[in-house]
Parts: sequence; C-alpha cells; structure tokens
Amino acid sequence: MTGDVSDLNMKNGIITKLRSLVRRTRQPRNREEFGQLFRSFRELMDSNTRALEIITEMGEILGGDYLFDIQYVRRTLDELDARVASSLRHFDELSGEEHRELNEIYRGINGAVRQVLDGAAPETGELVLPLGKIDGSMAASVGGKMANLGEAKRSLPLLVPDGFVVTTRGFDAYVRHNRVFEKAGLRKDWRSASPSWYDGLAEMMLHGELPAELHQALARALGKLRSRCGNGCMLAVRSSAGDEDGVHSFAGQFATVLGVPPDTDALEKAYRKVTASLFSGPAAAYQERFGYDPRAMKMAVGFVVMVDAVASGVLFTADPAGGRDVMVISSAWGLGTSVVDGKVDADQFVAGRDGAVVEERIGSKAAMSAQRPGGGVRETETPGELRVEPSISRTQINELVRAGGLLEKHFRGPQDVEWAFDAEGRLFILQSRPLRVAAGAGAASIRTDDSSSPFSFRSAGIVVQRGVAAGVVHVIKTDRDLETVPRGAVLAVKHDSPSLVRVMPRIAAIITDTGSLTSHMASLAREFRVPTLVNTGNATKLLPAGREVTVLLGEEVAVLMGRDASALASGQEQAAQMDDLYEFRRKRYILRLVAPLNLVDPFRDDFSPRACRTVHDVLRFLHERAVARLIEAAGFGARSGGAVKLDLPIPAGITVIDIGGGLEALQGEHAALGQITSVPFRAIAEGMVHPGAWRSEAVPLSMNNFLASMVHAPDLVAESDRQMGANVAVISGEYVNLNIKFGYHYTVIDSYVSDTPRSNHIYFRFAGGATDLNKRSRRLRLIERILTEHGFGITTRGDLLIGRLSGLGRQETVAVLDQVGRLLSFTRQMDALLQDDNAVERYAQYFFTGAYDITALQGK
Amino acid sequence: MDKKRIMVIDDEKIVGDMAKMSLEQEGYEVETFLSAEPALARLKERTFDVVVTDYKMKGIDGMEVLRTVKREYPATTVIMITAFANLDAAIEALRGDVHDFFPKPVKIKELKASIKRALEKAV
Repeated sequence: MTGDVSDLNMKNGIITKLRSLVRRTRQPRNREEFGQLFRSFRELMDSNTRALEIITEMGEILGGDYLFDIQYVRRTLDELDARVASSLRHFDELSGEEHRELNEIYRGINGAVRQVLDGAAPETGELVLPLGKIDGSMAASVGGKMANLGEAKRSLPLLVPDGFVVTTRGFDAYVRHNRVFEKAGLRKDWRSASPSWYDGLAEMMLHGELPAELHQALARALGKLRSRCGNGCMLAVRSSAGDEDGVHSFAGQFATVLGVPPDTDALEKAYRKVTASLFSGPAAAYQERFGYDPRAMKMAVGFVVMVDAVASGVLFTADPAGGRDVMVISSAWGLGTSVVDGKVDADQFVAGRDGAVVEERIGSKAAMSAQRPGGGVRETETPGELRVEPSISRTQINELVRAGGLLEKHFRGPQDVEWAFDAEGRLFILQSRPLRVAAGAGAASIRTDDSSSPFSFRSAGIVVQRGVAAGVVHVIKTDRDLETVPRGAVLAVKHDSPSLVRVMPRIAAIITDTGSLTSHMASLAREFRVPTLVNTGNATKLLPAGREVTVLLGEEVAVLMGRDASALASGQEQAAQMDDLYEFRRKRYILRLVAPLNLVDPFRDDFSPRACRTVHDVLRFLHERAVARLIEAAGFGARSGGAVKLDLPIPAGITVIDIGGGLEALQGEHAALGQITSVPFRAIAEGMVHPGAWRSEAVPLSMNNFLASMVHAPDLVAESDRQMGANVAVISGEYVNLNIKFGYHYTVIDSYVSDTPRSNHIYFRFAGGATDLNKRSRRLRLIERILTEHGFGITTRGDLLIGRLSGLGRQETVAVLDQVGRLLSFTRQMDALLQDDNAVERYAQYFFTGAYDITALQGK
Repeated sequence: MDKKRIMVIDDEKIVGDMAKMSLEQEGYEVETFLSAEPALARLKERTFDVVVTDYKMKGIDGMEVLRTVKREYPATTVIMITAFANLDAAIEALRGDVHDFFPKPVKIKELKASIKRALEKAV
C-alpha cells in the first residue's frame, strides 16, 4: 500500500492543523450565512485566477521576447498586488486568524519585490560575514559566487573550505571613504566614459585606505578564522561581484590573489588589488558590453582558506558544447590556478553521469603550482614520472561526478565547479557557478529534413515555456510513473500536474494532453525553464515511447523524430543572449519572488503561511485553505434546515440545500433529477443513475427494501434516519458539496465547475470501514485505480483516500463527475465481491468498459 | 554590403539594451541613447536608416524627434514606441508621418518586422 511512517505523521499533522483551523473559525448558522461564505469563496477563486494570469503574463513579457519598461513592471505589479489583496480579504471572510499571519507574510514578499524593483536589493548591514552564515539568498550582499559557495557549504554534503566575505556594504564603505567617484569626476552618461577614466578609478581603489570600521571587522574575522585554521593557513582572496542571481559569470574578469598569509596587512593589500580589478580595462569593457553601470557595480570579496591541493581543476557538469549527458573534468597536479588559466596542458576526462569515463586525454602537465610556505604561489616543473600519470583516479572522477550532480541539482542548472583534492584525498569544492552551455557557431535555421516526420497533434497546444530540447520519450500516466523517469527524457503526460516538479531538474521537455498556461505545473516549468507544450490532446498516444525526439518550442512549434543538432544549437543561442543583459535580468529577478511555486503538496507539514516564499505560494495556500474551509462550512450548513429531498430512480436518499441557482423553482419539499440545475451535481447524479451502475441485488447480503439497498450490514438499518441525514448536497449553479454515507463508507465530493479551468476542481474523499482489513483496502485500491485513470492525484492514509483533480475545462470536469457518480454507485457494495487482489484490476476493467452488471459477469 | 543603421532612443536603459541586443542579431548596426539631445547631435554626424524613439521623454520628446527627423533627414524612417498607449498619441504620431507605432511592452518580433518593412520601403 501507499505511504510510509513519516508520510503518515505528516498527514496526521495536517489533519490536526485543519481541525484546529476549523475550531478557530466561526461556522455558518444558516443557509444565508453559508451562501455568504460561498460567495467569498468564489470571489477568492476569481481573484486568484486573475492573479495567476498576471503572473503568467509577466513571465511571458519578461521572458525576452518583448521590449518592456519599468512602468510596465510597476503597473503589472500594482495590478497583481490588488488581486492578491482581494484574495486575502475574501480569505478573511472565509477563515479567521490564519489570515493575519498570511497577510504579514505577503506584505514581506511584496516588500522584497518593491525593493528589487526600486533597485535597492536588500543588503545585510554587516561589513564582513563568515562563510558559514551565508546562503544563496544573500547574493546582493556577498556576490553570486560567495552566495553559492556559502549555500553549498550549508546545504550540501560536500566539503567547502572555511572563510569569510567582505560584503558589498563593506565595498560601499571603502569607496565612500576614499571618495573614489567624486575624485574621478562623476559622468552623466557613463557609456561615453574613456578607458582612462576607468584606469583612474582602478588606481584609486588600488591605493585607497580601509575605513576604520572595515579594518576592524576584517581583523576580527581574521582572528576567528586563525583560531580555527592556525597561523600557517593561507588564504585565497577572490572577487564576488554583486550580481543578484549569479547567472553572469564574470569568469576571469577580476583579480584573484592566492597564498595570502593570515595577517591583516596582507589581507588588506589583497582586498585593494581585487576590488581595483572591478574597474580594470577588460572588466570595464565586459561590463559595458552587458550594460552594467560602473557606479552601480559592487564587489564583495571572499577570503577562503586554501586547500593544500595534490590535484585540482575544473568540473563542468555538462559539455559546454551542448551535451547534458556528460560531465567534463580538467585536472592537473597541485593548485588549480594553472587549469583555470589554461596555462597547463591538463588531463581531460569526459564522464557519463554514472561516473564511467567515456573519453580521456592525459595532458603533459609540464608545470604545477603549489603554495609557498611564506605566502604566495610558486610554479615548478612537474617531475617526469608524474607527467604521464593521470592526476586523478577513477574513484576520484566518480566522486567529482557525484558532487557535480548534487551541485547541479541544488543550483538548478549546469555548473562550472572549481575543486581540489588534498593530501588526505578529500574533495573540496572551491567554487560553483552557473555554466553557460554555449551555442554552436552561427544561427542555424530550424528546418525539418526529409527523414524527420513531424507529428500532428489533435490540437495546436499551448507553449508554456519556449526552448529546444531533445530526449527519449517517456510516457507518464500516473504519478507513480514519475519514479522511473530517466534523466534527459521528453515527458509525454496525460494531465498537467505539479507533481512533475520532482523530475523537472532532470528532464528535457514536457508535452501534455491537457493543461493550461496558468496551471501550477506551467509555472514550475517556467521556473525550471523546461521547454513545455500543454494541451495537445493526444501527445501520450502519438509520441513514440522509448524513441528520441527533438522538441522545438519557439517561432516554430514541432516535434521531430531523432536528434536535430542544428535546431538544438540555434535554440540555445537565442535563450542565452537576452539573459546577458544585466538590467534585463534584474527586472526578471522580480519574477523569482513572484512566480516559483514552493508549496506543492498540501499534505506536507510545511504547508503553512510561513512556508510561502513567493506570491504564487500565497495564492496556492489561499486556494487550498479556501477549499478546505468551504468543505467544513458546507458540513455545518447542511444541518441548518431549508432542505429538499431529491427523488432519484435509485434509493440514494439525498437531501439538497440550494444556495443559489442549483435547482429549478420548486413546489414542496421534493426535487427530481431533471430539476437539478447545478452543473456538477447534475453530472454526479446522472452518473449515479447510469443504467446498471447502481446495483441493488448483486451482493449476497442485499435486501429488497428501500433502506437495505443503501446499507450493507443489517445492524445499520436501525440507524437509517441518521444515515439519511448524512446524504446531503449543498449546491449552487456551479458548485456541489456532496456528503454521502453508504453503509460504513463515507464519501465527500466537492466540486466547482465554471468556464475558467483554473478554478475548476473535484475533491473526492472516501473513508471506509467494512468486514475485514484486506477487503477494505481492496475497495480503496479499486477506487484509487479508477480515479487515477481519470487523472486524479491520490493520497491514502489507512482507510482514508483523498483524490484531487483540478484545472480541467468545463466539459472535461463534467465528464469526470459523471464517472465519479457511476463510481459512487458501482463501488457502493463492493467489499464482499473483492475476494482477492486480482479482483481489483478485474473490477476496474469492468468499470472502464461499462460492464457494470457484475451479477451477469459472475454468472459466466 | 553596408549594415543598416538603427538608432534607439529611450530614457530607460533596459529598452535600449534589449533592442540593441535583439536587433544586432538581425545584422543591424545599433546605437542607443537615453535622451533625445545626444541622439539628435549624433544624427548630424551620421545617417541612420531607422530611428526607434520613445514617445514620452524628459527634455525633447518623441514627437519633437519625429518632427526634426522628418524635416532634416527625410530618408530616415521613424518608429514610435510608448508606455502610454493612448489613442491620441498614436493619432498625433501617425499624422506626423511615423512609420509605425507600438505600445510597450513591444513584441520584439513585431518591431523587427516593422523595421524590415521600413527598410524595404526605403529601397
């Protein structure tokens, strides 16, 4: 069965939390009050939907295909803010105290968005920070490079040397103290600044004086570091330019000083040298090329303990020429400087992701560098016998590949990693930054040659994330299929689902049968930049499982058989270039605080306001909680009177409370099937009465009277009146909340159906109890099997099953509800029939083929 | 063959940067300016085939750029972009013989197509 112990604990936690939420909130006392709650719910759904549309539009406009200005971003964010505020307001009407915390958290997120927008990225007040206190979110203070290194140190089971960082605030203090820009003469249009102006800046930085506060902070940090690593340890002093997302490598643009002895003077000298390189000729040209304003440029500087390396080098977690299936390692004896600078003929290894070496070239490694005891680095000739020997072993290559995989996964993209093995054979990570997978030379035009056969999908599909990718087709029908997804696969998926987030970091592309632009999965695909096409109608049937295809999602949308190298090259080139612009990325960075979805699974313990890190998280939380709240409130509303009895051709005994538009005008206290105008309830009821689905004589225990057909065990007949009360539908034109109790089995169906797929949902909860444990679980498994086939996401806990399906269009949702109705009737008295495990699949097949008449089948 | 020259004037750096990057991909030579004054000064030194200008800018605005270009450099095509997508501005601009008018955000593909049409027309 499903779920391990920790799963159970998590889910128990959620249920406790839900209960506590319900206790805190006021319940509706009558139909009017429930109607009011329901209206709040609907308005919340409406503003949520609009908010998600805005996020989607922002993603598109800021995606590189549009020229946009700050006014656009501002206006759009204002609109988004208004929608979220509206959702929060309606949530307040639905729910009580939880709102306040969520409101505060949203204000925090929105504040961060505004800060990025106004160019004031939040910075720490510290002038110096130890590496151990740095994480990936602190790039504005410590630069992308050091933020990544700190993040790796904190979050990954990898060794990262000790150290500290002088922050951008420290840099500001240095620049201010020395009045660098004032002395250089402030230019209005810095683009026309001459090289000599930059030289002047560099000169002043090189000979500046550290302000007293920075000097002291540096000395304190050094003292602490020395107490840990001793007086003999040498430091590497490296630039870490203030780049929010670290996408821009600045590779080789700035100075690095190696072998710096641990005394304050030496450190300060190195600091001056490194910061001066921010304005040195080549760096200045590089900045200008990508649109950096030198006055806005800031450089944090890292002071990291040097590893006394036996061998070191560089690891690319992908082939920079475009291959994602291999990693490339350059390695040489001693310190890695020679490898990084390309000074030495290093060993080259190309390894598969399993660590197996597929290509190897042993370089001559004529020179090697090592730390000089008194400080600095000394270059020596490599002893002859070492030159011909590989500088790292197969085991070490394996270890590097494994570390590369961790880094790539954690930082969500190919990495350029500097590493070293020390005398004890320990692997240290010295740096990890995004690897730009370069495009092939020239912009090849995308074409389809004769041998390729483009597929024609049933519908045109919606491009959620542009891009070009190739991979082997893997068909996903249920979440369980995700466990076997190979790296680099092109997924053909039946319904779009946020569960795909689990594999997004390692797949090439996604194509779905159904789905929409604003779904959770769509947002995730954009966040991970996985080329994604949704709503093709028949991708899972059309795409050939196990065969390699190339997916083109750009100006041309097509899937080609095989691997089209030229298409891949041109796709990568286009994606890369706009990203080079600093201002563009800075604006786009806002999206990071808005669009990604971290709250994916409502059954996890951390599904709480505090876990919301983005606007999307807040929306998702609101959505999930609002549905939970409505279900609870509907239960209370049902006991408030004003109900009518539903007369169906089957004895289902359902009481109906119409909160608006769910029934035709009635006379008396009875309604017929034909008088139901609630779209979702009508669909379920029609499914329930579908010929043959409701069995009243199939089961040995069956009785002929009205009540006995509803219940399964004789001792329950006495409770029949309460049973009746439990079968309640709260409905409106677009909504149903149906509580059904058949025998011991309690089912809740909550559904909303409108013309907005994003708002549509079906929630199915089944709690059962019957003769013996095994049979109960078989019934549960049967329901699970059937619901899964119809695209539900399923969670089970003991005898509780919860199925969720959302985001389908009106017609699809209605069709599924009809099936759900049939399922209710079909599985009503199933326990006695499910005698063995094979029966589950057998009965599922009966259901799928419409062979509901089990008595006849059993007779055969 | 000489590269066609495009001038982009917009007081927001990101617009010029993005336009430059995407138009250079098409093989054009692109110069960007954050205000109209230095742009008009540059036009005295060099001819441009197309001027893409923001409508609303501090100092000399887009309409003034349009009038000056039409008067002094009639062979140069002007394309107007603006954050204020109001009809009046569009009508005024079109009356002033602007080749095309785009409200921001501008789809880069459409801007490229418009420039291409302008250059074809000029030949």
